[in-house]
Amino acid sequence: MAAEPMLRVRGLTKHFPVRGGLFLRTTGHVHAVDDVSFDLDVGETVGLVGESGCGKSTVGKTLLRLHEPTAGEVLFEGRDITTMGRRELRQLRRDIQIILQDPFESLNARHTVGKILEEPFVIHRIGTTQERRRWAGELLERVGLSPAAASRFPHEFSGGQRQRIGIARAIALRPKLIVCDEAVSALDVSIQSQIINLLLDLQREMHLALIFIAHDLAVVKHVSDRIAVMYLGEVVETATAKDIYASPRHPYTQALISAIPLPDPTADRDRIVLVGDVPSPIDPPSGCRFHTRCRHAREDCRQRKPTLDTVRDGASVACHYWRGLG
Amino acid sequence: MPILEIDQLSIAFDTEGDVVTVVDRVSFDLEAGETLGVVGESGCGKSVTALSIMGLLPKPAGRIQGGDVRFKGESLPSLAPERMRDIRGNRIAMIFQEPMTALNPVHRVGRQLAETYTLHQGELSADVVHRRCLGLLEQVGIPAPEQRLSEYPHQLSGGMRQRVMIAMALASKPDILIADEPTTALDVTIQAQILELLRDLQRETGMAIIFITHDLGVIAELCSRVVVMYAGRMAEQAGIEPLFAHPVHPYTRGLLASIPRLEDTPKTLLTTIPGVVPSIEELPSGCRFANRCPYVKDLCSREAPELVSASPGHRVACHRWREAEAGTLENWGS
Repeated sequence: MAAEPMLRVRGLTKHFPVRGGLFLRTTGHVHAVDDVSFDLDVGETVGLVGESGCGKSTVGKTLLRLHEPTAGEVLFEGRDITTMGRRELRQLRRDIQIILQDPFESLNARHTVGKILEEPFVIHRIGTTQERRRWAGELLERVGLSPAAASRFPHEFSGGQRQRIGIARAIALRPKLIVCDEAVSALDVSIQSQIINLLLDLQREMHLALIFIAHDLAVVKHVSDRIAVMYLGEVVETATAKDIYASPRHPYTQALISAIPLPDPTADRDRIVLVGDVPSPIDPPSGCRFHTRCRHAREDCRQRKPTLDTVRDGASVACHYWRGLG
Repeated sequence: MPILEIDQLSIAFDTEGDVVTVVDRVSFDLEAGETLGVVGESGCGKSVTALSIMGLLPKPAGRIQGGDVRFKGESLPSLAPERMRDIRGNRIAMIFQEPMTALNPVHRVGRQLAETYTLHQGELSADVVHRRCLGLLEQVGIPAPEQRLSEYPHQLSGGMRQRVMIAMALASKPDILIADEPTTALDVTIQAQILELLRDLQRETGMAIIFITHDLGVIAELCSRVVVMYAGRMAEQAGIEPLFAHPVHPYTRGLLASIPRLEDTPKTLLTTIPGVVPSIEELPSGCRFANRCPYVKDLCSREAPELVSASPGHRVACHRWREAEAGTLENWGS
């Protein structure tokens, strides 16, 4: 039997109630995440990619129990996160960290950077005051900032520098897994590449596993070993980062790739322009959720829901007709 | 004659007792019917330049400090307010990243569209206005336009709101459309729709477009010429193919090299430009890219480089562009 992966997600589902009317009764559910499964190994990166409302961020937050899952299990080193009590969860937060798009929202504006970086050690009662101060300085250096930054406040830093501070805090307790939720999406290109390289370096050095969530497929592809493409709460395709670009199988993945503007004016390609908007996740389309925008949709795509079938090792696709699409 | 000339334009902002020049002697022309891209990262001055063309700099903090903007030969900064109002909206229209900042949330789409007619085109019968509004929504590809006219902006998706804003901008058949990051907040498949729409509309109407973005991919797709800005100054200007094939400014070269590309090998280190853009309070007197540039020499920190011609139609502001063009010293960090 193969060794258990570090993280095993099975059938993860999150529905948010929609309330309305005079007594705020539940009138429906947002199907944010439906039946998502994947594995993640030590030192590996799984990328979750898709457009607004596809559920990729909700997957990340539900894994960490920042949202309570509606169904499914999340096994981290064999223990199910979804049933953990408060004490166990606290221990878990040493092992799993999250980095968000705008670190400014998650950094306490009234604390110095030094205090922000010492806080994880204080919460988990690690080290003496002197040790914590020294570690904060070392963390700053590790992410490419001067140790002198410790005495300044978050607002004194640029977006890229704040993201470095967010990363320093995330790695403080030497976690095993970091969820990066649109961590580089708001940054300018010249800064984005610096932060991507920092994450790649840290991953190698600390054998970190990463779940990299972003809407930009070129960025996700660059940092990931494997990629799961999501549409309206469901995974429609998984493949290695290399294959997803070279041979996308699902019609949605094909359209997503063809819509990316290439920084090359001589590029000549057939663009697949999807018609219409993403349907509402409150009342997702029947059958295949992509059928309303799919140029290959046939009658039974409207009725029959495709399952995510393995097409070969590590690659799977949820489409009735992917074989005939070339 | 170009339809729009930006001539040595400088823009200043008052900040707590200080005057900061945020755009410094920017010059470029726009030809009728062309699409010109203006590209650069946060704080490079691209949006402020666009606002100043429209006479929409935030008052009283912002003002034109020097230079000129000429529309068909007529100097815009010195126009009387009524004449400027006529040009703005009628001859030069603008769309923004977030349509909700331009759309009034408490009025129905139809009323807001109709308003652009009553404001800019004088008295028209209600019936004519209604028919024209419907026609506009159809022109920008909005399904079920009759129903949309009676909806509020919040009932529309981001892509549909951007289409409504484009429809409003088109109402008076402008000569120039200034588009300031109109697809940045949209998903990539919706962005593809909007870019296609802008291309089609330009073909139909012959309007010129200034497209402002941070995304070199969008520039490559849409524009025929491009201006690269950095920290309030022009770094380089060229036709679209020379810019991507033979960039000569070290910043443009570094920027193009640091984009993650779909054909890259996953998990390899990217090329990076080291360091950060100087903050607006600490702009150096010499070249503003000097602190990040692999080609930097003493001269660069002493003297700001002037825009010079590298080849016909290709201008660059760099003391060392010949060395950069050869790529000899390039050792971008990673």
